Amino acid sequence: MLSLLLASLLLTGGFEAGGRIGVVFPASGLESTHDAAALFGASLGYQVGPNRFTLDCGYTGLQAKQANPYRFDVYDLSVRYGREFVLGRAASGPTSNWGFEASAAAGVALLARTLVSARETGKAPSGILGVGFFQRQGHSRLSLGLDNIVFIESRPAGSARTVSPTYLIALKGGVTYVF
Amino acid sequence: MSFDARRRVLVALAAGALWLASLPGCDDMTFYRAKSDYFPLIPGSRWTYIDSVVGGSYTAIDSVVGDSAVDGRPCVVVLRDYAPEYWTKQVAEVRQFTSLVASRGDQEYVLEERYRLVYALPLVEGATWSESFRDTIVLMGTDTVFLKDSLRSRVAAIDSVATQAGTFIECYRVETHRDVEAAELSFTADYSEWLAPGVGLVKRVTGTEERVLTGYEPGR
Repeated sequence: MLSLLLASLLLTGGFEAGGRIGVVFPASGLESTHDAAALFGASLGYQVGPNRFTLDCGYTGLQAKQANPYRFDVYDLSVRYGREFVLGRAASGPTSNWGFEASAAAGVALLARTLVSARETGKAPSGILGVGFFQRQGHSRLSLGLDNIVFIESRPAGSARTVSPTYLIALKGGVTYVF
Repeated sequence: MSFDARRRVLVALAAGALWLASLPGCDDMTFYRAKSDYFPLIPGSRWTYIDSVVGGSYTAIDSVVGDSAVDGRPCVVVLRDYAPEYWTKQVAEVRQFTSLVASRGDQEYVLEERYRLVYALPLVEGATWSESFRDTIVLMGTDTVFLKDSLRSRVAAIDSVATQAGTFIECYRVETHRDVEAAELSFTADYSEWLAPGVGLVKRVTGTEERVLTGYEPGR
């Protein structure tokens, strides 16, 4: 049964690989000491109809607000599910369309805070909710979107534990090659 | 792409998803430390400590009373056991106004009056900072005093600290050596301080004294 499902997915879907760049804006307390920073990423995906599954990796290096050799590196690895809502087709053929995509992802971030030679490392689970615009034509897929990335940390609070979420807002643009 | 290659990539994607799904809960509080204020100077804040020294102990109270300006710079006034201290805090550093005054005859002479570096921010485990101030002061026309005020600090560890006011996690332990050479005012001090996120100083240990937090009321 599982083999049949896998075979049908492989026959009806398609692979894609791409990259993205963007800007990350810190929030939820980080913004008081950290500036916005560039975002770089790559992804490997598989699409079945309007459903997209991607394995994403990304990097951003948040800088201090003042001239200071401090950097906060965030390496994020996540698995994303996205659903495309096709709104229109271009005149150039049946393989061309555009629309909006909503996505959700879960992953983990590897973290490093560096100040001159001092370095702290850590990790935190992350979740991402994203919305964006896409345009597909032939083998290429262009996208522009907004990601709300939340990193969840739990810490003791008396005898219980409390959750400390941290948000990064990412504005990103990407290009993907569809095989 | 061949059918086998597609299957391998899809299996790799699924394996990656399973691995990621197993990771939540493995956080190291790095974001929490990165966004926390380890030296809050909010008006109305009040810290109560128990100071243990050789031969006894006593209660000390610190409080932030408001803003002022000293030596031409805006600063925050902290009452430490009802004696005023003047602090400035920026994104990259915390400084305290320091005044060393020597007496000769009936007159007082200022040896040092400046904002000296106390903490370099942000605190990161392993970070070090230092500052050295030197000056030469002539007292009463003939008495020359060579002044040296140097400080060397290091963020030695991230600890949890248990106090009467509770247990504070993710505290940075800052170890400091301060050396002041200023005639009869000379001294050397080695001390460790534990700074807690959102609270500030929760413990301080010198050679003969230990100060531990017993109560904290955040300001507004």
